[in-house]
Amino acid sequence: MQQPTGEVPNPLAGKRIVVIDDEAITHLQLRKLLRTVGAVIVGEAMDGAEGAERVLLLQPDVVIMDMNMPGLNGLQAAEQILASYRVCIVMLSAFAAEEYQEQARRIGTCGYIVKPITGNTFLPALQAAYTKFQPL
Amino acid sequence: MSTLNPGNPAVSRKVLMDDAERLKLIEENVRDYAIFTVDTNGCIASWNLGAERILRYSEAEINGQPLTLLFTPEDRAANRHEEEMTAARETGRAEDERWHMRKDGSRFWASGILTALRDESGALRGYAKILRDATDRKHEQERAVQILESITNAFFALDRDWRFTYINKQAEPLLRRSREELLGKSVWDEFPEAVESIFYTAYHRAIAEQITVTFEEYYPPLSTWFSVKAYPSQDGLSIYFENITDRKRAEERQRQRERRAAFGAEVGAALSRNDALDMSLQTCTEAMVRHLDAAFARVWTLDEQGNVLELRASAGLYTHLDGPHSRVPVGRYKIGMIAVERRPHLSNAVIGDPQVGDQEWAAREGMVAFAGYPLLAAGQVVGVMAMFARQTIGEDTFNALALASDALAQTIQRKRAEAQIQTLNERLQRLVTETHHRVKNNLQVMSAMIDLHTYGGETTVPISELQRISAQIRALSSLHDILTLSSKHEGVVEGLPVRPMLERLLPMLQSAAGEYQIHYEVDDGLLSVKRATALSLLVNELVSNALKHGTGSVLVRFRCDGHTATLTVENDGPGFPADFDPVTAANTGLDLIDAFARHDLRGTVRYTNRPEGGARVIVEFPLD
Repeated sequence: MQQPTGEVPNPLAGKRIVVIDDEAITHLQLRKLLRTVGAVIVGEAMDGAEGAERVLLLQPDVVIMDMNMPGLNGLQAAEQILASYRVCIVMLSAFAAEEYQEQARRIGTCGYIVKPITGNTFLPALQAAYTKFQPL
Repeated sequence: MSTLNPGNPAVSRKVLMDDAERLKLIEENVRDYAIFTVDTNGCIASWNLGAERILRYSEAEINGQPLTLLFTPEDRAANRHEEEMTAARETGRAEDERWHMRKDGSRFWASGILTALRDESGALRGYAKILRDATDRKHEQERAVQILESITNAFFALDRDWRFTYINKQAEPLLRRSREELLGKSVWDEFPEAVESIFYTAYHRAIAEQITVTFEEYYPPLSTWFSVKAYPSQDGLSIYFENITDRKRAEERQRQRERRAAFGAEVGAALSRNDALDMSLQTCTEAMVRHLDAAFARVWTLDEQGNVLELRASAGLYTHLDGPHSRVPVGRYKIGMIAVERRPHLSNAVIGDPQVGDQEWAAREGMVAFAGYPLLAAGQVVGVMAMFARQTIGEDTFNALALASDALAQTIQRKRAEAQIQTLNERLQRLVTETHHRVKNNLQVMSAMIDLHTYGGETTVPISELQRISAQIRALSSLHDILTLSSKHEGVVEGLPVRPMLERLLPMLQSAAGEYQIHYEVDDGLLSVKRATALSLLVNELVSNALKHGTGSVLVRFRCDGHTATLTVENDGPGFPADFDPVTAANTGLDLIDAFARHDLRGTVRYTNRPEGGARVIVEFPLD
C-alpha cells in the first residue's frame, strides 16, 4: 500500500476535523486515515442535525459530511452550517451522479468524494479540497 | 240604368224619356258589349250593334227570336235560360258566365248580367241583358289553371280577405283537404294552428309590404315541413309551396350523422391522447353534451375493490363530482344496477320508467330519454357511462354511445394497466437505487475494513487479516441473500428478519471453523437493513474471535424480549484474562465490535467469563 510521506506538503496537519456519517465503521476508518496525516478529529456525529450542531459549536477547519443520513441529510446539514459558518465541507457520498455533485457545489461545499473510500485516494482528494478552499 | 221616381210623375216621365234616349245612344255606340232586351215570353225585343258584332245576328234577324237561340244545346236542355230569368226576377239581377252560341254555331265565353225590367207599378216588363265576349280571358285563365295544375309545386291563391280562391290539385294532398272543402273559406279558419305562426306573419308581411316572402317552416298538425314562396298581388296572395319533409329529414339525418361522426372523432382523440384518465373522461362527457344533445352526461369507474362506482366526469346540467351520486354502491340506483346486470339500460320514456327513481325531478327538468351503458373490458365491468336527454334518443345515437362505451372501457383498463406499470416501475426504480446504494455502502464497509486491517504503514498483510476480510465479505453476502429473498416479496425492503439471516450466516462460518462446532439458538426479530448489516458483521467478528481464542465449540444465542434483543457469543477455553479491559486492550477487532454494537446497533457490550470456563460476550440492543 502506498502511504503519504512526510516529504509531501501536508495542509491537513494539525487541522481540526469533524466527521459526520451514520456508518460507525467509516468513523473508524477515517480516524485511522486522518491520524496518518496529523489531522485531529475534534468531533463526530452519526446524523446531520447532531453534526451541524457539533460543527457550529466546535468551529473546525474541515467537515467530512456523509450525504445520505437519517433525518437531516448531508446537503441540508451543510447548507445549515454554511449559512452561519464558512468552513471547508467535503461531502462523502455513495451517489456518483453529477447532479448530486452539482447540488453540493451550489450549496458551497468544497469537495465531493465518492464512496467507497480508501486512504490512497481519499487523503489526496481531501487535501486538494482543503487547499482549494483556503485562498477563498 | 236609371232609377224611377214614383213621387213626381211628370219629372219621372221626363227622366224616363231622357234615360231612354240616353240608353239608346249607349246601346248603339257600345260595340264591345252586347246589349239587348228580352220580353216576358223570353223572346228578343231589341238588339244593339255590339250584340250584332258579338253574336253575328242582325237586329232584323233576331228580333222576336227566343233567347234560347243564344244558349248551347246542353244549357238549353238544362233550362239555364229559365234559371237566369228566374234569378233576375227574384233578385233583380243574375250574373253568369257561360258558353253562348253565335249565329254560325261557334261558341264564345260570355260574361253577362241579366236584369229584370219593371214598370212603375212593379210589373215585369221584360229583361235587359248585357254581356261581353270573355273568351280570351277565359282562355288565359284556362291556360293559367292548366299551368298551375301541371306544375309540380302545390299552389293556392287567397283573396285579400284570406279566402281560398284557387287551389291546384297538388295542394290537396299536402293540405290533406279537398278544394271543394276549402274554396271560399278563410285560410286562418281552416288552419287555425297557423295563426301566430311563421306562416301567419310571413303572409301578412307579404301583403302589407307587397313583397315576395320565402321561408321554410314546420307545420305540426300536418307533421310536414313546407317550403313556401308567397307573391302578393292586388287581389291577394299567390302561394307556391312544397313538402320538403323528406329533404329536411335527410338533412337532419345527415346533420345527426355528422354530429355522431364528430362525437366519435372527439371521443377517439380524447382517448388516444396521453391525458390523465379524468381529463379524458371529462372530454367524453362534454362531447356527449355537445354532439348528442345530452342534458347531462356522466362516467363512473369501479373502485379497486369492485364495490363502489366512483363519479369521475360530469358535463352539462350538472358538473359537480360530489353529492349522492359521487359514490354509487354496485347494485344501487339504476347506475349500480347497470353494473350488476352488465347490460345497457335505454329508455325514451323516462317518466314512468321504474328504474328512474326520482320521477318528480325528471318531470321538472323535462327529461325524456336515458341511456346507460356498462363499461366492459375483457368481460369485466370497469365503470358505467350514462346520459339524460330532453328529447328522444335515436337508434343511431344509441349505437354511437355503445361504441363510445367500448372505447371508454378499453381506455380505463389501459390507463389502469399503465398506472400499475408506472407504480411497478417506480418501485423497481426505488429498488434499484436502494440496491445500488446498499452495494456501495457495503463496498464502503469492505473498503473501511481493508483500511482498518492494512493501512498503517505496513508493507505486507498477514493471511489471517485477509481471511477476516473474506469472512466479512461472506457475512455481507449472506445478508444480500436474505435481501434478495425479501425483495421478491416486498419490493423495497424496509426490515430484515434476523433468524433467516443468522441461519444462513452461521453455517457459512461453520464451514471455515474446521473441527470446532458452532451451535446456535436464534429467535426471530426484525431489524432495519442497516442495523441487520451491523449485526451480521458483529456476529461474524464475535464468532471469528471466539473460534480464534477458544478451544472447542462456540455457542451463539440471539434472544428477543419485547423491544430488546440480546446476542450472546461464548466459547470453550480460557476466557478473558483477569485483567482484561476492552478500553485499554483496544485493537481493530474490539474497535469493530464497539462500532457495530454501540454505534450502529445503539447497544451495550459486556465481556465476561462463564462460570464453567470460557469467554462470553453479551450485546444488548433495542429492536426497531
